[in-house]
Amino acid sequence: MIRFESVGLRYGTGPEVLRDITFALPAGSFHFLTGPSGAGKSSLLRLLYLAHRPSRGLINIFGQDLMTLPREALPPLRQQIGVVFQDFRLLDHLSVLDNVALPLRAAGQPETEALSHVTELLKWVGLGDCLHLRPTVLSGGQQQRVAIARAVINRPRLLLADEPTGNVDNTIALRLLYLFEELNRLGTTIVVATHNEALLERFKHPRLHLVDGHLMQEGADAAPSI
Amino acid sequence: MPRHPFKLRRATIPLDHDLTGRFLPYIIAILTLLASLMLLLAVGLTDTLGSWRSSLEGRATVQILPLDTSALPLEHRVQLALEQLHASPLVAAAEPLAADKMAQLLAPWLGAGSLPDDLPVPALIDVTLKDAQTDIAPLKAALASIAGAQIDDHGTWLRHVRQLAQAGVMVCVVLLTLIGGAATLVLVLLVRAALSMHKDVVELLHLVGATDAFIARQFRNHMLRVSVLGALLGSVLAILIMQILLGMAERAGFALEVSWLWLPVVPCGFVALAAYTAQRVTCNRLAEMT
Repeated sequence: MIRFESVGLRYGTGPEVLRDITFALPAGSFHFLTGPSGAGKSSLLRLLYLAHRPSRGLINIFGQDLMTLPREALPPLRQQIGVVFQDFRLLDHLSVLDNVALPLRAAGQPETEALSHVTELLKWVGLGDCLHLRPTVLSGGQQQRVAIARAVINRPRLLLADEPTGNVDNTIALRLLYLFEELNRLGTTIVVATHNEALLERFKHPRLHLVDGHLMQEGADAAPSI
Repeated sequence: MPRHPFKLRRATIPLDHDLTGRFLPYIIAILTLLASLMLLLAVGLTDTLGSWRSSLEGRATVQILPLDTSALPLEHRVQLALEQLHASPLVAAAEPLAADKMAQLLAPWLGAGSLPDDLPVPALIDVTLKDAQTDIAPLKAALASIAGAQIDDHGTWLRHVRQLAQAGVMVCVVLLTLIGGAATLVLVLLVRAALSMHKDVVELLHLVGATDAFIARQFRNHMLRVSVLGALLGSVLAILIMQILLGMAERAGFALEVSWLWLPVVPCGFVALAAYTAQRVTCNRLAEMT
């Protein structure tokens, strides 16, 4: 479903932050993305959620070659990718409901349909009473659930999470990973960037380990390969 | 009854509280006011001059000077001129100007009341031509034999009026173009500034799958709403100021004809310009992004 071949990324005229990245993620897989700070995890995620195009190499996502893909073809691809950002990136001027509804509105879904989906999902993540609140009045854990709800509202084929357990305690982190496993069982491909060694020990999924912009594959059960 | 959250939702991009939301209504209001006044004054001036022109076209005035050297008295020469004019196939009517009307004409200089008998005032004959475009050369030739007779079809004055009207229209077009250009530049700068201010929101919208058209629509709708407010405010001010100007002109004895039908042109133009510019600039700027 996702294939990287000899991918390199540099910002502007700076040095390459990712070098010769080659891996493949089959549909329905679950991977951890690990590595020390500054190893390039966020850059690799940015490539995966199509915020950047690579400087070199080949990226194939859902059968589409990213290097040759015209700009107009990106939104439909992005609508199939859900992202949980490290800092959540919720819009403070919008209500919880409007934040979660963003991907549906962007995809042009009818409002009444979107309303019922969003309300249902927010109830499922335990935020049924917070529909009209602003994110600023929510706790960190609640904000994270809003961010997750926004990431999965479109039933994405690929879910990316950048350090989702960084700002929450171990209990919530565990619940979060169980939630991701549940989504994975429903067929969503998942990539979670994390530093949390305890979680990595507990959840035995293959790792994509980055060191200084290079990918060092480590298998939990099986290492991903082309 | 619970509120419908989607109907009452806030704008996806918080443009209401930025530069475009705070300043644009006033900028549009000022530009609408200036452009509306310009247009109404120019159209009013053109219409007024046009009506003056049409009231003089096809008319001529024969003036017979009181000459001491002439063997014939003035009244006799007036009679001769009338006979010549009535005999001409070019003339529809010829009427000598009555003494009271002559006194009215000279009142601004000589004061109200009848003219003194010993004042050497020329006699005037008001001539209506059959065709407005008539060449009065044959009439000039016919009247040449009458001492002190001159005919004027107001051609020079009409030419000046026409030139004044054309100059008025030109000035109006140039100023309106400049105001339109200034408005476009302001709109372009404000939209670009707003895009920079909301770069993070715009990036997030892209990442959740929004198309450039979706984002441009947010900007267009906001600019549409804001510019409607500004254009309405500017139009109301323009009407008030125009009424004051018309009152002043009327008191000065100058009846300006204003066609209010032109008034909606300017605010509608600015609203359309704001919406189009917002959509176009947003799409262009987003296309420049990676």
